[in-house]
Amino acid sequence: MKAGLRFKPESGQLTVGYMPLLDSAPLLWAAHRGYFHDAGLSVNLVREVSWASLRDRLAYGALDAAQCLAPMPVAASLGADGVGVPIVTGLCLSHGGSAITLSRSIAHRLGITPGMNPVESARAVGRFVQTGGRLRLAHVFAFSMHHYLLRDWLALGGVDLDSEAIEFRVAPPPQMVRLLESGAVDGFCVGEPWNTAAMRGNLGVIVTPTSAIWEGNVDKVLGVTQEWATTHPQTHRALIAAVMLALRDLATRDVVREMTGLLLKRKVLSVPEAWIDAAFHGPDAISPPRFAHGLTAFPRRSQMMWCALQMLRWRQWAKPLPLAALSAQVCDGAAFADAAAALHFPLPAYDTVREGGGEVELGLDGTTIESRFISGDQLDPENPAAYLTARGWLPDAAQAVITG
Amino acid sequence: MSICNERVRGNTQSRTPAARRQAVSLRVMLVDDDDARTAFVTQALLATGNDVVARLSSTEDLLAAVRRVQPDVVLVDMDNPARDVLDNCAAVTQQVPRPIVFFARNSDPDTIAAAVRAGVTAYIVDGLSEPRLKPILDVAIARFREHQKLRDELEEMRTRLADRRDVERAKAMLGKLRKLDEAAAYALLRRSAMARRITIGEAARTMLAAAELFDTPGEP
Repeated sequence: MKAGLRFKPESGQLTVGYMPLLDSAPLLWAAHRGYFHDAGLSVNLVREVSWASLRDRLAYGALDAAQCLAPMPVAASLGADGVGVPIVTGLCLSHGGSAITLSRSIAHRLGITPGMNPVESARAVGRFVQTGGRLRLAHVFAFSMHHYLLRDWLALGGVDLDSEAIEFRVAPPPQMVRLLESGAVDGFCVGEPWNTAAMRGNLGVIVTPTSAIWEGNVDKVLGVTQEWATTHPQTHRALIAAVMLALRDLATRDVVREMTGLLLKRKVLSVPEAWIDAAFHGPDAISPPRFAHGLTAFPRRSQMMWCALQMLRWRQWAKPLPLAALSAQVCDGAAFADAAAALHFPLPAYDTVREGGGEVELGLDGTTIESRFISGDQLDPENPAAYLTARGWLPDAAQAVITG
Repeated sequence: MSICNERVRGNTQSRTPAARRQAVSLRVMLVDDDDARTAFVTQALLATGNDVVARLSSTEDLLAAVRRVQPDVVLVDMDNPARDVLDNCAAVTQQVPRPIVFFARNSDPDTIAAAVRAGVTAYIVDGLSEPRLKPILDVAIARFREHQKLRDELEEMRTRLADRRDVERAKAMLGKLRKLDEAAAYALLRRSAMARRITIGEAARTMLAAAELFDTPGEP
């Protein structure tokens, strides 16, 4: 399928940034299968070593597009990241894929066992903290689902996150296992294969995949600056279409072996093949990266609302926040729809869903997607303030901070 | 490079505290895994009258170091894996007594773009004005660029040496195979390179690689 036939890219030469993680697979696969070429694009894939450098290079034009953490476009468009160059997304790349791991000794002390219900394990942490226990927990970036879902999990157990009992740290994913081994941290929330690595090394217990805390959470998105999206609408659509084809392939299991070979060949990950394999589909695959495909790849405004609400909740943003306008700015739904239409892929009928509503309708043809919170509540995009009041905010404060 | 390198002092040391306060001197922490570049940047910062209060590598506990040495500015190699650790200081201020704010917030976009291109970024303590930061950032940008230029030159020299060696070998091979004199062999190589829009060194290497394939004995 020639994805580019409908589009006339303003610029055929693109530099696209990625982090060497399992879920860089959609971009690598699109290059490997020639989908970029089919879309009329010549893509130079550039490896970055940190989310901050990836964001800076994207913000200042050294990258045309990049694999971003889902909350990054919101943080950038809001200015919460300190850079404040608006980033938008027209495609989700992956869901879940990360997990929370505690060191064996801490898990043992708290009575947490693999497979335990995440609410129960969070309560065990809550009891530990109430009796004076302290934990140092690492995640990957200030504006990441890893960070927010780790906090969301702890909040389930009634842990007071404003107290000094929990110290949050950031560490590069490849250093996580070493930090756990040296005792520098007691646990972490990170993508695969690092949870599998900690478990196989007998250093950690995988407490829960983050997909159990929010089933259907969006983990990575394809980000471009708002300015670039405005000046390169056709290139953006061609790029999205090419990656959509890669996502379609990855949704089918029969490419996993070839994909694993590609990840190893490109030295994306320098870990034993068995770990990658396990992280994809092996017997220990507690948190396989579930690549987006079809309508789960559609960036919903309600997902971005959830991200922005976490920035309020955890005080990364303490000023009025125009939630509806911000989420509309961040999601380039038109680019997604045009790319999907060119490929005869399903089209979205709505730009928000009731997050946490279970099986919710999204497609023009009635296609549904899954969105479930373990807490059992929902985020109503028509009444986002209720999400905050359900978490202890005074109604007046919640209404005042969300300004439309 | 370790924390033992804390407090590499500049020529501000001899000044009185009052004079120091009036001078532009800032307390700078450097985070870079490239020792040579760190030395290079340190030298330039000291020469402009600043204090380099710590030089660290990415594997050290940066959060603790920031708390302890309380720098005004943290200069960091953009491709340092510790970037995300420092970015977190900026986002989660409650854990650091002196919050660090990413430099770009109120800064001149041209300076930032230049810094990104040069591969250096800075974090500043909240409240530090841009006019005070700019000279330091300019010094760092210049030094990062110079360092890159030196590295590029070295790389270019290596390539040129390799080219010369491979072109000589390809010429000799062509001379033997096609019975050409040296000038004719060189002309043939150059034509081949031009037709394929590659350098003559690359053309020579392609030819040598192909010859190697033909020389390889077949499967028994």
